[in-house]
Amino acid sequence: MKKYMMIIATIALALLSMSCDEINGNYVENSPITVDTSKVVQKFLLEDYTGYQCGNCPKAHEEAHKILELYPHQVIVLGVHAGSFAEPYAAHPYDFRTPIGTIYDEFFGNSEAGNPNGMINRMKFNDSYIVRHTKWASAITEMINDEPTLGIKLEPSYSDIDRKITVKVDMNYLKNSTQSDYLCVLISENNIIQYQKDYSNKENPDSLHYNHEHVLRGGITSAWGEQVSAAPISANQKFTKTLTFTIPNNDWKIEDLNIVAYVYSKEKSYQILQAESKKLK
Amino acid sequence: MNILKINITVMKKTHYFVLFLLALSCQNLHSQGLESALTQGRISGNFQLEAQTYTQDSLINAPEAKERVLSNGFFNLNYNAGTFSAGLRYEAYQNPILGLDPQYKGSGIAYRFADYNGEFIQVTAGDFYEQFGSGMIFRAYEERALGLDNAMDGFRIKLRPTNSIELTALIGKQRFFWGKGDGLVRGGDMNIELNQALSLELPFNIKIGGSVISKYQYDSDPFLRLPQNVFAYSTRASLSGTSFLFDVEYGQKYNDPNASNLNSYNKGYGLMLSGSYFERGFSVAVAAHKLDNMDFRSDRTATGNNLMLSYIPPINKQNTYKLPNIYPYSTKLNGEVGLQTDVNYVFQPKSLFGGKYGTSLNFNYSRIHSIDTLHLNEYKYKSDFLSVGDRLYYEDLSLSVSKKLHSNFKGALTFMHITYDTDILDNEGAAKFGNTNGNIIILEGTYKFNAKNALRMELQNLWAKQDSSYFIKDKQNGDWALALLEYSYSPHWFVTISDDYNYGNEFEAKRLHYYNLSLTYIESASRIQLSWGRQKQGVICVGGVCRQVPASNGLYLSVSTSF
Repeated sequence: MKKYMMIIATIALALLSMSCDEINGNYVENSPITVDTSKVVQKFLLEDYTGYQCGNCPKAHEEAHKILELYPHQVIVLGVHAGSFAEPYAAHPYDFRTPIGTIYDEFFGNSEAGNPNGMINRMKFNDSYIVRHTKWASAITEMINDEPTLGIKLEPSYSDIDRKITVKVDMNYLKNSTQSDYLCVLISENNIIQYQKDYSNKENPDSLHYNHEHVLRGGITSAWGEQVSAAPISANQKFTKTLTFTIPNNDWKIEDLNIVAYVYSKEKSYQILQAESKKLK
Repeated sequence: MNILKINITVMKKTHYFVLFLLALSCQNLHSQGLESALTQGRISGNFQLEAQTYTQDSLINAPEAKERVLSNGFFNLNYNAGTFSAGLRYEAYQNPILGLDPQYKGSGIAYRFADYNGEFIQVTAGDFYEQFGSGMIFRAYEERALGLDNAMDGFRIKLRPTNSIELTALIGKQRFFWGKGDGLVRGGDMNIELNQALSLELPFNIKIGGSVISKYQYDSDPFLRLPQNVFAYSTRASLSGTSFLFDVEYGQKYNDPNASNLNSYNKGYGLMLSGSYFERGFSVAVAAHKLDNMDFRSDRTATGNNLMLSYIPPINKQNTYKLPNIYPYSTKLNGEVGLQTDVNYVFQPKSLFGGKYGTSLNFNYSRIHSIDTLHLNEYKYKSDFLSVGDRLYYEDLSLSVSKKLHSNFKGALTFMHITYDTDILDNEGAAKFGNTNGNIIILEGTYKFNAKNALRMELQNLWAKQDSSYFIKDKQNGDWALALLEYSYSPHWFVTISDDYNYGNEFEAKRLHYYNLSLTYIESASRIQLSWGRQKQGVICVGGVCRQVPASNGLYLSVSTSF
């Protein structure tokens, strides 16, 4: 009798496996998530580790663009060109790489894991920083209503005379935090027209005039930034930092530059607590 | 007593295992079973370490590793006492050898389990590997050469109500590097040996089986309405006699939009057929399969070889020689139709072609095509299950003769022809390389000087030509020759020297030699191998599942033992 009960129980367990949801038509999600943007919201720095020789990377660029369109007030995209796919060679000498991008890439192991991939606020998912582009949208959506630790406000200005950028960064803490918070400020650029290998175009994967967007150009701070406070931080505390940077004599287009700032916590395994972005001009 | 001592020494690194044993001992302090388990138990295990140094070699694009030396290590420790067993595996990737996903970086207990295996019931808690049928809808397995480990972490129950019936039910999540995948996997499997179950007196055996798998993953995708529960099933039958074997398996998967099928809401189908006939000195095997949308994973966003649930055995010839493996085939789970025939014939000794010692012949032919699809919209396509696509992905034809020519010498001669769709297999389908046609000749001979000393030699040549309309040379690039000499002083020593020469490379500067020198020592269950040389960039495949291997130049050490 006991034997038969066990058989029935095992079969029942297997039958429980027979769960299935069939979607017939209406494949597109049409109940968008609403976020109250009148208050300080959690923003997400989506770092897209990429390379112009990476034929699968345009798929990730496209995904980042879709997410940005969906959450324009909460997502900041940063294209980090690093690793072997970003190495220039004779036919394509343009070098997208930056020393700061290479530091991040080597530290978090992105290009070694195979491009394209990225990070979302440098949080760990399934014990790994690296998140494939196929997971970006769902991972961000799951956290879209998270309460932020702080708000960041940027006031950038630019002087044509000496090519000098000045950025005032206001940090307004909404929750307690620690002295392990660091502020990083970076520069990105849109609309860089250069070559890109693109496997989504099966007939001609060589795209000669590809529009590279959100390209990391360099750091106003160092890669690991400046400490926000030498003492533990309490909710309602405010901090302001003013940073300057002189644009080197190069091909950067001032009108396409963005300032990207974020505060991360060393104590929380480099997790970004808040991010902000603003066009330079 | 020895067992307890061993446990204590291992305790520092294997706390899960020891905690488990301690918990067991606290709860059953007076149990006769535990006492006997501790006194009659047996510890077994194995160890494997591979380490590689990386010297920059710009000629072959071999990078230098910042760490200079990279290594992967595995240590399995199993405890077995009658019906009870428990075990764990410590893994250390410090840092992972190049080519493996760097997300493995780190060390720790990657696998631990406890198992009770009685006559009627077997229960496993923790990590386990399992396969339903051929693996079409479920296979959890480890393949270290590929850096693949999709072990389940959960519970498994197996029931054997009679000798002829086995039922399995399981639930758990799959390993994802040092974490777990998002998807929850539930499944059941049944195998019945019909002859025994129904007391049939037949001249052949009939086995039937069926499996179900359902995976659950929360839908937080903001763009698409995705099925959170995806169900798949398969049924199979096997007929076997003294001179034949026939297998059939059919599987179906319900709508499973995922990263690999570009969010198609189509159902998936798989059909596998194989039959073989064998008698003394002759065998013939024919296999065919059709796969449509059968890439099934516990996480719909997973890519690469991660979090796979489905596994399809390859349908092309699995080569042991090196040059044919320059063009390995990886199974296209989302759509392929394949056919394979393999014939073996032995000319008996003292016959016309058999000579004094007999002659063996092997013939193999495989052909794999795309499936025919018509896209109805962004999310659905139409594909007639019986149709075959026009695009040839892969074809191989090989003929091999092996013969003992003298009491001390045996040899083998193999000819192969390969057609390889380089765009599909190496370039995600984007036009770049076209097809590669390769012809290969391999000559192998082994001369035994005496019972202990032997010399084995391989000479291989590959003539490879790409379709003329494409001018970009594929990554393998042209003609190759290989020579290998292996001297063995059995049972302990093996010395191998080999050179792969890419003499037909389009670029003269790349017509390089990939030399390799290897020394191996074997002592009962222990093996130490030390090699030095160049490794070309390429792809390695095990059972139709592949990974990229970067070029390397350096020293390689492999140590393994079991106890």
